[in-house]
Amino acid sequence: MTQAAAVTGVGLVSALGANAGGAWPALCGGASGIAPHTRFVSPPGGCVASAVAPAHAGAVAWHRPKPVKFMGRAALCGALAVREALVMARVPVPVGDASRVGVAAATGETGLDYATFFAALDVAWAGEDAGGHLEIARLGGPAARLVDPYFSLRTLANALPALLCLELGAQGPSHNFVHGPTAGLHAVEAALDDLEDGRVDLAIVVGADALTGLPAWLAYEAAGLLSRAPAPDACRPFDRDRDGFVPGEAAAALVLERPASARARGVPTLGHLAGTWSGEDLTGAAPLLCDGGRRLAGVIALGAASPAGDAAEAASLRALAPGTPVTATTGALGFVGAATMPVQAAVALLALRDGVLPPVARLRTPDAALGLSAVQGGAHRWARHPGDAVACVARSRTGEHAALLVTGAPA
Amino acid sequence: MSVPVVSPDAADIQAAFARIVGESLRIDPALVRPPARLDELGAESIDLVEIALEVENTFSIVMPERTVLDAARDVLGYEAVIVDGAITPAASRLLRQRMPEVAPDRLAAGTPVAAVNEVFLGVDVWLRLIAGILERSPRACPACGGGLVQGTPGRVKCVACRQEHPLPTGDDLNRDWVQAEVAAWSERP
Repeated sequence: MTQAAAVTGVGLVSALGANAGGAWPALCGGASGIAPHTRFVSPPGGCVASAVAPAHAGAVAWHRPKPVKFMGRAALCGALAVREALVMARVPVPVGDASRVGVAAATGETGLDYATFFAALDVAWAGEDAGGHLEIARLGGPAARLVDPYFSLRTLANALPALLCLELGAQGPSHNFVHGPTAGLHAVEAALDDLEDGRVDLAIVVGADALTGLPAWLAYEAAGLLSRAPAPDACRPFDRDRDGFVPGEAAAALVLERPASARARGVPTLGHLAGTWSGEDLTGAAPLLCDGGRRLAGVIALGAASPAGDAAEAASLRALAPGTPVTATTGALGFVGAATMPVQAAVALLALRDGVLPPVARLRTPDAALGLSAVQGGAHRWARHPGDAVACVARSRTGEHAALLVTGAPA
Repeated sequence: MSVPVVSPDAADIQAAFARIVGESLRIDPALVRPPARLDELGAESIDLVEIALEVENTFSIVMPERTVLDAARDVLGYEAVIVDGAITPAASRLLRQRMPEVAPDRLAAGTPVAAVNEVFLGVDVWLRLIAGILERSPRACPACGGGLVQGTPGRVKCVACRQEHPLPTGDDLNRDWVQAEVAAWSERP
């Protein structure tokens, strides 16, 4: 990418609220949306907290109401975040020049929600008829009636971009990336490519994930990544007593366009996506983050709140941006999977707009061994400067590191 | 929580069906009335599955998964029912007998199967189908006459004697009806 893309709209649905306008002050105030988990009884001795987004289908008037029923939690959060971003960007729904509007999405890695089959399996488990053996023949007929008829649509990884394009009437390129926390970076890159190559005039980036369902929960539990602390003490990034994250639900959306296009439409630019990087070692992002006379006002880290994960991330950040204020949203919003980098980007844009970097929620006793300038207690405030930038960094479980550089709009 | 088995009249069926379709398709339930067709109201195949399941849950019945034309094909054989993609005189006779609410010319011999499949999507056809299955589904315990609640899928349970009873499926009823109707042809050709 040779030219920064202007961001003219931001949307955020998270455990701190159904829109960015509500979540932003809460985030800056150090609030956390983590609460005791009530959706199901979690396995004994494991994680007991989650960060559920207050997303409801009735929150907006849908252009095409029927497909909304096909949306799972993540897709619903994503669609609501996009609607908020489009309002800010003054883009109507349905979108005007349909073929010139693209969608690039980052969605969850969990795919099929097999919990939808548990009730049917109970019926098919023909205990009295077949001595306790699973009777596959009984999976049809009565058992099938206990399966959500829309389970496949609701759990498809690419349901979000598909349903979003239907709702918006967008007919430009659409992309979907499924790669955990770094998926959002690839969605941003696809959108930037579409803008730069002239395939679209408006690119909508959205990342959404809902890890509060049973399958994802059990997978993260089995991997030893979830906090086992009581809800008020769970998920404490960079804290001496950190013991893992809690599953979260969130979505963030960005409306991107060429700066000239934003100027021509007379729409305020919130900031710019100035560059992306991905690789095996975060220190490789140095040329992106430290070049061009930019002043790195802050870093938004992944902050997975695990002892080893935070230590590794801190080591990279010490080398990459020593002394730079670091924050993370995990203590406020939980771990939000594929939504991570779009959420970080949304927070970065708001931070650059206001000159405020939110604190790390739930960080009580910073782990001195990490050597980070983690923002604790209150927000970090700075005098805005035209060269300000905020870096968003994340890593996937497969070892990919990613960085996104966000710059502020000229004052 | 136990869901009691209901005994709705025609107006109840109409109102509940309109509500179910309205919720599924996100449309005004007032639009769900004859002569509208579900596909014209916006239903796609996957919506029909949801609507059928909601109908089953609401009325404690088991809807057919296949059409009466499929049942005729099973009983009479494919060639006796469909020739060159159109229904035969025998199939026409069966369908007109089964669906008196439909204008006979829409089910005339030679009508393409695709056109017949559209007929199956009529609101009036669904209402008659639901009423027909309800007539043949137990509303009281066959063993003791006690009240019934929904049991495991496809079954009802007596609140008095606790016995479970299977519900007749729409497919079974269609097949039985075709067999009986065809058998009766020899008596009233």
